[in-house]
Amino acid sequence: MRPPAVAVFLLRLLIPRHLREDVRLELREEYRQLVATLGPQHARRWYWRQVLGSIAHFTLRFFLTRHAPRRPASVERSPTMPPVTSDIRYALRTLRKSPSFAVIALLTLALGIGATTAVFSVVRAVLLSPLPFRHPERLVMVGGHVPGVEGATLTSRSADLRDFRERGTTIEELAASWTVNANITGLDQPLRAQASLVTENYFRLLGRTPAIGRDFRDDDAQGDIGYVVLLSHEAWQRYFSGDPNIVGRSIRLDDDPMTIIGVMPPDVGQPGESPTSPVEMWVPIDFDPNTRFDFLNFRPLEIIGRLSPRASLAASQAEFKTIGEALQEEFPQAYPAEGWTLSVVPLLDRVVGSARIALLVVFGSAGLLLLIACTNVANLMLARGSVRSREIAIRTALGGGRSVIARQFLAESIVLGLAGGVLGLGIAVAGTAGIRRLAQAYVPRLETVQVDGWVLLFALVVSIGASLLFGLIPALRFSKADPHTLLKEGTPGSGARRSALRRGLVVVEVAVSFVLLAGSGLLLKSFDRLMSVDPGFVADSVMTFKTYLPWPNTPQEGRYFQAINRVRFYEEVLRRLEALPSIRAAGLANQLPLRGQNSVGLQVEGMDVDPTAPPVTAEFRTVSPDYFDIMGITVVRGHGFESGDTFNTPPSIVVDLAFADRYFAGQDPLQKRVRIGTNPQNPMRKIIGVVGNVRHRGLDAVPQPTMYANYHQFGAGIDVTFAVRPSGPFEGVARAATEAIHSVDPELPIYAAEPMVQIVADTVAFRRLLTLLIIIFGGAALALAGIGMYGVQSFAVAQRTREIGIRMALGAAARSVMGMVLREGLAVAALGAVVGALAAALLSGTVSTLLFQVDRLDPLVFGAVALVAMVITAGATIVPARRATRVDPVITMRTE
Amino acid sequence: MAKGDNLGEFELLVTLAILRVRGSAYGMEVRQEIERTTGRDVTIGAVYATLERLEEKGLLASRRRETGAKLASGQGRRFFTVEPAGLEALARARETLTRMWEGVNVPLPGDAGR
Repeated sequence: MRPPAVAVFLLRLLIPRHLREDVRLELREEYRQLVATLGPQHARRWYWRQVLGSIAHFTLRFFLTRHAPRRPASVERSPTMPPVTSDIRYALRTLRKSPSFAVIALLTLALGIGATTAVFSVVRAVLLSPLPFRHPERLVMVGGHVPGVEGATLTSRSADLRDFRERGTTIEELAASWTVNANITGLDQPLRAQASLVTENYFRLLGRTPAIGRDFRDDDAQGDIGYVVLLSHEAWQRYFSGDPNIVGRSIRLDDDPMTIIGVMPPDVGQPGESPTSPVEMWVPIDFDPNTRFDFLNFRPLEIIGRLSPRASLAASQAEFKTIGEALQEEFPQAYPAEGWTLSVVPLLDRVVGSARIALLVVFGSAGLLLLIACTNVANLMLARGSVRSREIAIRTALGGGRSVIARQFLAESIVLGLAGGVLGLGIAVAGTAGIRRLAQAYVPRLETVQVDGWVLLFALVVSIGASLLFGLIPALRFSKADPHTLLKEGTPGSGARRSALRRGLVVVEVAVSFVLLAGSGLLLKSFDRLMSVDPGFVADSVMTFKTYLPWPNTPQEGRYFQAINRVRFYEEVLRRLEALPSIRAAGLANQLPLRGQNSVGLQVEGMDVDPTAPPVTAEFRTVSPDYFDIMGITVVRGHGFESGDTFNTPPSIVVDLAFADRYFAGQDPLQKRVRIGTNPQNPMRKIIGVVGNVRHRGLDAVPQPTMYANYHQFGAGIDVTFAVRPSGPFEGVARAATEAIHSVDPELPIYAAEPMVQIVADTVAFRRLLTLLIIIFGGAALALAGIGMYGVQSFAVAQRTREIGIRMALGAAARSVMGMVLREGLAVAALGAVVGALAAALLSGTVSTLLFQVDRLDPLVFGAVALVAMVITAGATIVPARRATRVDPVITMRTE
Repeated sequence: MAKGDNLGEFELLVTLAILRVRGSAYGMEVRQEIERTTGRDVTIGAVYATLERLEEKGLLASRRRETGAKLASGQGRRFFTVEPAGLEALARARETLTRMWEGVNVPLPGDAGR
């Protein structure tokens, strides 16, 4: 068992030469012992800690001690010194001589390299590393893009599975999953679990087997839903404390006895599961041949497939597009004619989803930050080179060849770059941990992020790349210079040329920070717009929690199969909740605002129906009469529901403004009649009220036409959310409510207890995080650019001290001299801002999908950023200019 | 006495560790001894840096000895021993601490059960 190769490499690179061999030998010995005693994983981690810790120690010590440590007599010096080593020795010595330069350059580089590396480690884990399945590159998801449903989700009807299997030739095997709720009873307390009904071949298709027990067999589902269950590793740990004898144990899921047949390995989850609510157990199901789950517009399935060995993704996409068109033609009622297309996407795309674009934007921002850092250091080196010009001139004059001088500069920058990289790794480790903690709920696969050999290699490559970037310019510049000019002028090139180069670097800095700031500005303004959206309800002082009624495999046998049983249960629960002293009013809905869509077909009385076209649909909510009141949804016309309604009172319905506008534009919607669903046996319902629009699909989604029905009259499903107004503080409300509900039915889980304001905050949390990250990068860029400009301007002013002195001696006012310096500084910044604005305009397309109600070329944002750039430049220029004008002209001239 | 001759805490640990390991030790042994006794995470780099510093000050000496394990260059392992000056520094450190402890009667965490 060898120690990790990348770590050994770093060790050889960065540990002082005379210690290298001893350290390596001893680390290897102990590593081998650890492999034998504590296992290879522990040993690797230990080795990495030792190497990184040691490197950090030597790096720190190098910069803290001014003098090279005296070589102990016992260590012999090697007789011939290779030239590269002597370059590095010399570089170390010169850097040690100017510690403030070294520290500033190091910190700047560490920040840039650290940020880039941290984000790279996330990008690698989330976007680049393969899914933990067999030949993951051949796995795909097949399904329809339904208009109005965002994201990479492709959904399918249960009949699709059969059709795809019969018609597709490019996909050798297909499997389907349907994510559902399940109540676990028989443990200490009733629990709600995230379950998934999957075809028996699901894990066989993915190429993974359970860590304990067996996989599903082809006879497990018996043509319907099976009575066996596979647990996720997490669920096994959480609900059964990792019981090693779990296989064969029986649990009750939705009142059905289920036998646990196995536990999946920790790295296996359902591809595409929600990071906040991963699938905890899988139950086998047969969709074919039974048609129990086959309804016209019911698309609960996610279908995955494995490409045939000879088929390409493109071929499969083309084939399924054709299949989709054929299906649309054959079953027009089941497939929307507009916008719906049958697609095949790589499974990884589905897993990563919308996190991809956000991650790439953050990665790009980190890269820009690094670019600014490099520009800064290049500038510092140029300035320092000027100071050292006498030394360089002498070395050249004494026969130091150009290449020697160039190599020296490069050696210096590489030493700086590598040291900055080591410090940056520290930042990267902390940053990675931070991102992991903050974003785990929104970004899939984040739990696999780690700083491993690849990330270290990336940091190394970036460090060396950055060194070349900021080291080449000064290296070339000074190696070409003529010693005579150098001695005389202090800097190579004519005055105009040298300042042109430095100004060019400032232009780059201003331009790059402009891009980052414009990005942060656009995202910040979007976020502000989003927060000022009227959601259509009042979230304050509403507490919510969920329950879920059991739905056994044979539903007729369930306690809550009859609609009247469900209504009676909810009525009783609401009555007991309202009797609690801590609750003032209690209501329910099948789905809360911002919790996704629930659309159904409908028919408006008197409107022509095309029997061959898919039905028109609208959002639909079943609510209790108090719901509008509790949620603060305004009744605009007519009135809300009566609590005295029953299944037998005249059928009524409430619609929102968007619905009224869509179907009754210019007419009075009250008293008009609408049928929910397309079954002609469903009653026509009279509209009794119109309420304000509510953003059901998200704060950033346009309100869809919505219908509301009274649950007393329409019935309610097995999955509802309670919304209550506590009479006092929220604490303890959930517990009191749980007791009240358990007094009606002790076997129900109460879960997802959270204030409505939390639900609102959750829907914008990822956007908030992304905006925050980009603002941090933008701020860091601004700070670095400011420091860089200050350095350049100070230097430029210092170089012109003589000129300024002459001007002032000849009677120029301090004010006019300052004006001159300021004008020149601002001119450079303005050029940078123009370049930056152009670049930002070109790049803003990448963030356009993340924007909300903000144009990607928003003039206010661009203007504000330009202003900030000018103010920072002015600040960076005025301070050194004032310093120059305050000095007595005579002294100024004498110091030259 | 010059200020530089006083042992820092880690220097003290390193010197004592050499003595605990039969009076002559190589880097990894010192590291393991400190880790075993104090429970601290210690890197080999920190240990070597301290060993060299103490050697420069003349408190330690090192010598390469053939002991089976060899470096790639064929040299033997480097063993460190405590020089007389190192023993003196240890004695001073102990005396300083002992004197400082005298008259401290405040109960400290962990005292119970002693």
